[in-house]
Amino acid sequence: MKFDADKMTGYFGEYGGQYIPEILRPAITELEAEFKKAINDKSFLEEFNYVLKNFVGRPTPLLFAENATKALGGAQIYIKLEGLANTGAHKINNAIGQALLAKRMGKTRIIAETGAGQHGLATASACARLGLDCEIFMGEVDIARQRPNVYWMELFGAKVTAVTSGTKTLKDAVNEAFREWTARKSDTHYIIGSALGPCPYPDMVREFQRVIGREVKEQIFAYGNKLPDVLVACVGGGSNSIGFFADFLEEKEVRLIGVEAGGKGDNPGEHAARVAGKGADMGIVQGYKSLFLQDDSGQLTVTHSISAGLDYAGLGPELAYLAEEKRIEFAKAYDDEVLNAVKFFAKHEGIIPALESSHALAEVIKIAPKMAKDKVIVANMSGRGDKDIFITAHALGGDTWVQFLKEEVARYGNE
Amino acid sequence: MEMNKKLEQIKNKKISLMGHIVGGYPDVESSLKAAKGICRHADFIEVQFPFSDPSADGKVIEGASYKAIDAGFTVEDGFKIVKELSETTEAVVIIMTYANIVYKYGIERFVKKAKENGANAFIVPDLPYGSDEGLSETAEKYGIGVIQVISPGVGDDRIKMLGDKSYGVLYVTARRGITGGKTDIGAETEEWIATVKRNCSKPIALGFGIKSNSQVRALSGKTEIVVAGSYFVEKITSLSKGSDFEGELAKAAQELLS
Repeated sequence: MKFDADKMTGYFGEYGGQYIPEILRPAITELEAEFKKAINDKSFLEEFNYVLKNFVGRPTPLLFAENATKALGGAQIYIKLEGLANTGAHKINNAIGQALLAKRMGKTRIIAETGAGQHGLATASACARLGLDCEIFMGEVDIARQRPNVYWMELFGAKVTAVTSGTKTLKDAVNEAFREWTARKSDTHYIIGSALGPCPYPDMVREFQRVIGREVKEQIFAYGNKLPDVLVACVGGGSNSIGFFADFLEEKEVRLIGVEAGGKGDNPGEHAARVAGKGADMGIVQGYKSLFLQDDSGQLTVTHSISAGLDYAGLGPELAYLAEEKRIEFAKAYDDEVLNAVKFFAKHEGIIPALESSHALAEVIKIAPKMAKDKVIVANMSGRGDKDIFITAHALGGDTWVQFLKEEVARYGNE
Repeated sequence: MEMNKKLEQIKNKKISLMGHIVGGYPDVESSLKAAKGICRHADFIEVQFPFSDPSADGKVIEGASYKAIDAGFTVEDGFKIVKELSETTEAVVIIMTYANIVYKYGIERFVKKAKENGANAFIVPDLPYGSDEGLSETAEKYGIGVIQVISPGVGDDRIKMLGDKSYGVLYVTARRGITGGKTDIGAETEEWIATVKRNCSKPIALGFGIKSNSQVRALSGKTEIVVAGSYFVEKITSLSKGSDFEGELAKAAQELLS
């Protein structure tokens, strides 16, 4: 369905909204008005598409995963290689869109939160490309597990600020970015990377990510297929999934599956599955109403996932609504299933999916064998897994990797 | 004390104090004692029910919130503190918290319980008027109300509207940003207060960054109420277990007004 900015309410059923302190109202009101104008402005969209083509590298390929299809013996598997976009994930689409919007508003400085580092990386890159100052807020825990991305962000000229409050992960980075924004609004725009936060963010992020699904539709037809039977995407906050699903929401015969982080197990604190797991309830946090993993008092609970990008207590409001409407089915993948998926698709297809995206691929491994051979699944590889080397190599490479790291450290010691 | 009665009482006062504590920090008993001490000199007391993601607060109150939650703070503990303060002090007791704490408890259930325990008003920054889940309306039904917050940068129309809707007083932040930073009381602040005054006839409570008696003196006669939050929480942090929280905080409140 085409987005009508004039009808944007910020609500998806009873989810969404604009629950913001008064101090943020001027900035949010300005953003909402400018987004409504820009998204209908031909010259803005032309510029956006120009950058997507010539800088991001769009369209990203749709791979027919023939070997994996054969090995699993069921449905035909296609993989949208979104991770081949510049900076390695879908996050760049939205970062470019919002950075262009910020320039349009006369802002000279960008702030952003990041979990896995992919949104921070994309934002830092977009800012370098478009000539904007950039500061990225990242939880200390995430910095420790995604160090390579910190180096790249700094290389792009961004300042990376460690967030040491709360659980020291994505949600705390969001809080910190909001704090910074309330203190400095006039020259600064806050680029939220996920399809959440107060209105207009969920609508805006979806519209800037919609290109993923739009390309898939063209590409799957170009292979000579009809509409796919199933689309599968991982779901943290929900930016890659909503962008991947948006152009298929009206195609009721297409099953849409969102895969959440099953983590280490089903107990509170062991996972980040809001719909497919236990412990989530309706709440109002960080400017929007949706499902949040929380305790009986309404305090957000600690989450866990092997992938930093899915390690977040809240779910984008539109996804929560589509879950309630049963338009999107939700599943989860445990950490060990995720690592298996990385191995399986690396070996059979020569791709290294990000740990986040491997949640979707783990679901493919489960459902493809049970489907007929003429059925078609498309999974979104939202990011590539280069950034995960310290996690995957440790988990899969074992002693040789540890030995290598020791030798490296020793070598530095001798310098 | 009931809001209107208090406003009548402070009418001729040069300046009144609104104090602020984080419920359950460092523990329920000490936070209650600290609040009692503040109330020897303050006409209003905000009891913050801590939340895991206090995005409108700075490091001081945020840190205190985490410690209170880790120490096992529950909403019922908060109500206990409120009850004791309403029964033993002359202050208007205000519950300050975030949307999710009220929402999860149930709006009406929360308001009813607050009223029963003697709270007189609410401040919930992320339940702004217009999308407050019925908090204002429900509070009004129970004979209490919501204090609206405004910050520099909002238009006159919104100041008028929020001033009109606000219960008893209007909470005005002295500057942009979060709680706890530094605020110089200069021409800019005075101009901002004047703007608010032009659009709102209710007494205003000016907060954010009030930490010294010189600031309070500078505001005397310009605003009816000053709010000090981080100032008191920092004081509480400086005390060790077993200290005289009540006496020390009374002293801190007195110093601020000296």
